[in-house]
Amino acid sequence: MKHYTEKEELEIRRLVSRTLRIIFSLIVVMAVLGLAMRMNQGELIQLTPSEHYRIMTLHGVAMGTLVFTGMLTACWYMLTRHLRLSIEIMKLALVLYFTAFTGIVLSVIKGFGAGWTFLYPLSTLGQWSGGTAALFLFSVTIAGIGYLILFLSMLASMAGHYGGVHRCLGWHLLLGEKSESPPPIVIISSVALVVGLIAVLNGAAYLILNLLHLGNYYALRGGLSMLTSLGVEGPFFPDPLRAKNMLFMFGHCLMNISIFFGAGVVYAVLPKFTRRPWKSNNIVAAAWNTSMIMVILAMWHHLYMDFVQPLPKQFLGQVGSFGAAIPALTVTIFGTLLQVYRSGIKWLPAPLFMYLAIMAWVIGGLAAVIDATIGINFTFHNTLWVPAHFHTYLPLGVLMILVGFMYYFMGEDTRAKSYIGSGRTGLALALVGGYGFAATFYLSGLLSVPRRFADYALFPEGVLLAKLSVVFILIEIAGILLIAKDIFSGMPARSRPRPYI
Amino acid sequence: MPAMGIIGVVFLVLALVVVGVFVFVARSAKREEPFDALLSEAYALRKKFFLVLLASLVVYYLVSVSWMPYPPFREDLLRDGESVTVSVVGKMFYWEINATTLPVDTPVVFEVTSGDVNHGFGIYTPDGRLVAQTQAMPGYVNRLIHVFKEPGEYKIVCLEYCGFGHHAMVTSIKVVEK
Repeated sequence: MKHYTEKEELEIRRLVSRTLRIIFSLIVVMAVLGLAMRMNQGELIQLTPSEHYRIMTLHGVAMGTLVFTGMLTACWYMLTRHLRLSIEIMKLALVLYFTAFTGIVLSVIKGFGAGWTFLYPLSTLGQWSGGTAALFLFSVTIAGIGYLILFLSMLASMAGHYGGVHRCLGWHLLLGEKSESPPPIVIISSVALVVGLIAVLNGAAYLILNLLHLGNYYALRGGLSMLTSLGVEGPFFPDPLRAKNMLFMFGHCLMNISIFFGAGVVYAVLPKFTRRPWKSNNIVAAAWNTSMIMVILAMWHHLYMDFVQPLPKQFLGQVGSFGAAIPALTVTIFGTLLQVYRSGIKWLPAPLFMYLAIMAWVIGGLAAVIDATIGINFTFHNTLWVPAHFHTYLPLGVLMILVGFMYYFMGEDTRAKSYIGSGRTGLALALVGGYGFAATFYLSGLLSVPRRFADYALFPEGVLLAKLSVVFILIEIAGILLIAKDIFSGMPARSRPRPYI
Repeated sequence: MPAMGIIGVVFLVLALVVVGVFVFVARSAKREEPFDALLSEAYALRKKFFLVLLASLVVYYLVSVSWMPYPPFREDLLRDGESVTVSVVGKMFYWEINATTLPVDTPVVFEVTSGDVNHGFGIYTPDGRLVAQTQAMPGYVNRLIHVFKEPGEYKIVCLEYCGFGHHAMVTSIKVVEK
């Protein structure tokens, strides 16, 4: 059943294609900024601390939101194969996101550098002007408004199509109803959107809190209290612990659901190549609903080193972190392996990239479980082990799913699904570079080298491993560029199809 | 808690097992077998895998409780009465510590807070290994109980990004024989 007219289909393809091309290009630029940071840490170039930390801020916010928006776009596209979603709302969310992105870049150029966490009250008290902090905070708010509108619209459309949010979440399957509807991508997206809504609302509250604090701080410096005029006495000083909880409910959840959207895409695309069914059932529904709860609980692992946080939250943080691994491993990852096992699959680029991405998700997840053990986090927290694990499951995981999707998407258009050119070498380079680069982070973490440092004068091993990582990052970027060349070539229909292996 | 080296080796071994499984399954795909014929065996395997994974994580969780760094789990160190309390305030970009010479093999209670933004109070051994940490947060006091096993000069390093001088927020404490 068609959900769009021919004209609308064309519009969707253009929108997705252009968005992913822009996102992929920006990811390459941000990777180069990451390279600059590691070169500075390896004493190969000299950045001022301000330059280093501003680059760090941009790299963190941009990479996180680019990968998230890219994966969301891919998932949105796959959902439009099943039901009608609003193209206009998607466009609005993307316009707001790229407007926000521009604002974030400008704020960083102007001097803002509080990190992606902009941990309250650093935005106000850092070594940048109030104006640049306000620009940054407003920009992130604009992106959040776009996501909020899109999430609500997608959930409403899915609920309308499948007969309620509870059915989209697969609760009818949990109650014993035998049905293959909705497809897994709808269940997974619904779980991701519910978590996303909680995240965005927390993020909005956190941003407003920061903006109020910033406004009041400068008003007080100017001799008047903005909040006194509203009847609030004294300086505005919200609870930093509560603020930190809000921040991580926002950031942690958004990053995790980018993997969820990625998994949704894999559920939708991989069976097209294995020619095996991957349908909804009570196990899939139970797994993803468990993931929904576990991923929220797991956010407390970011606050293990805040000893004043109530102990039950700390224990639940560890339950959530360990618990999230169970449905992921036993259903999605096991399911991926079952899809492939003795399937006779041709390793065309789309399934190959996705399969390797799922492997990276498991390896990054293992590292995450280790770090999410409170007793280990005691000596791992804020060392380079932390970026090690998310540089495994983001560039080698979620980004690779996105690449796989782009091959699938381009091939779908031109009937050249099996085409691969420079991407063949690109993949090999991206794997060698990506895992080599992550390994330098893991080793640094084991050697207690701290993260978010502009200068490793105190940590000679940190300098050495940063130098080594530069070699691997260059290889990884070369690989990504070759993949980009393949994807950006637009997969001309005349390309002779040939399998990758 | 386990030593860094052990953690590294365990992670490497598990990661290699994962790679091995993915390579094995990818290679198996050269052969084609009807999906339905695989299902009953696969579901039985998944059930076993689920139970083993669940049991492993529960056991690991229970073992890990003994590594908890929080004060309620370390109060017994203070029962003998011999302990030292140290007040720590993190500020952009320096530490205010009211005692910088501390005795070895004696429980030290660090009462850690911040005078401005969030900082991280990290204790590094003379050979550069992180042995303990807690956050320094405005408006809160985190209590960190730690026993220094070896004398020497320990570095205090800020482990929470706090602004452009973050990496320079370092000081030392001396641990001496009693």
